[in-house]
Amino acid sequence: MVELSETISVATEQDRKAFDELVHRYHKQAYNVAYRMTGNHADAEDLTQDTFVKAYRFFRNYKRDMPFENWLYRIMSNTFIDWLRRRPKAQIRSLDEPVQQEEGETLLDLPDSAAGPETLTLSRELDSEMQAALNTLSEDFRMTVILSDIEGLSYEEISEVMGCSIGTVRSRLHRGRKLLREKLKAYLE
Amino acid sequence: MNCHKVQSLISAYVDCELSGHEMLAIRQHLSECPECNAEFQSLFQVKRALGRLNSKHPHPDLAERICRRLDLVKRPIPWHKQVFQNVQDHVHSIHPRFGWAAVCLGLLAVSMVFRGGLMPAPSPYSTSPAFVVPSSVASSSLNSLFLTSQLISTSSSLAMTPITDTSSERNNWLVSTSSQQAPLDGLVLIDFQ
Repeated sequence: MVELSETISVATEQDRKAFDELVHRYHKQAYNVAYRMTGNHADAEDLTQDTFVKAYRFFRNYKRDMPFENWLYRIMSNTFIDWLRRRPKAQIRSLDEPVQQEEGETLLDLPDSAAGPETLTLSRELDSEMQAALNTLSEDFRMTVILSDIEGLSYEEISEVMGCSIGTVRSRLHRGRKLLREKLKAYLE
Repeated sequence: MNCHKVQSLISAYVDCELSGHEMLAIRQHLSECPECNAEFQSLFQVKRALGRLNSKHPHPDLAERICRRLDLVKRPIPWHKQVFQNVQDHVHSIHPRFGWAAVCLGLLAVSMVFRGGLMPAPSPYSTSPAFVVPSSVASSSLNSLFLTSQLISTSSSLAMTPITDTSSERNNWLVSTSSQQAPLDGLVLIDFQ
């Protein structure tokens, strides 16, 4: 496998093939964050695509002292905020949420084939509730919580991605978790 | 450390993002305070639950679709490359094969003209320590006073000689000074028009 530093140096020379390598390497990770930000599959794919397109256009601005995925998250965060500004009335809804139809409730999302039936039910229920709770947070709080608790970034890394101080990261995480705790009280006790 | 302080730092404690001293102080407090300990446990559960969420997987062809979109992306070109590109396009439009040769020959011809003394002779006023003052300006008492005061402040003596501008057939005044001090030495012409 090609080393990341090699990949990036070649991509700097506007080598499309090398950037394609970065796309293949990071798109799943980026999609996972995008899904947690948007709450549904379609918007997550659109956000992931827009993020990579912007990253490609401005790749020469990428500073090598920041991990590539963190730079992607920064672009994604800004792109998502742009989306919300452009589509203030857009409904962002989780595909995990049941949808009322004539024949009863149904789910829009595809099932996770890796899990067994029982795990699937429990996991889906908790996952759905967690996602619904995440959707209630403001985008800044949501992104901070996702980067910390799902992606495992440090406060310093999050402050670089979000362009804010470490104190702000600490405050957003604290308040974000407390809000989530209130929403998920029934599931966490 | 009191309860208020501990609860404000409890999330950072959960993430081990405090100094060693603070971590030890909070750990000590939690072992003695059930209320703060309950707060810690509940926030820790939130963090753990988020960390246990399943990874969401995109459609298998997402990467390919992104790469196809990149084919349509025009990357912004730096300004110097843009200028070069424009010049190159223009030169190419002159002649695809000999455009650059034509430009080089043109530049050579221009440089020969400038070096061959074909430039117009410099004005006689450009090297003399003098102002040329149009008669209309000199006749205005306010303007001439202002001009004179400016000159006197930097020169020891002044001489004003009438001259005729043949092109406009108007009388102007040549104001010269005997001072060798800057800024009057080697004055440039001032265009009052």
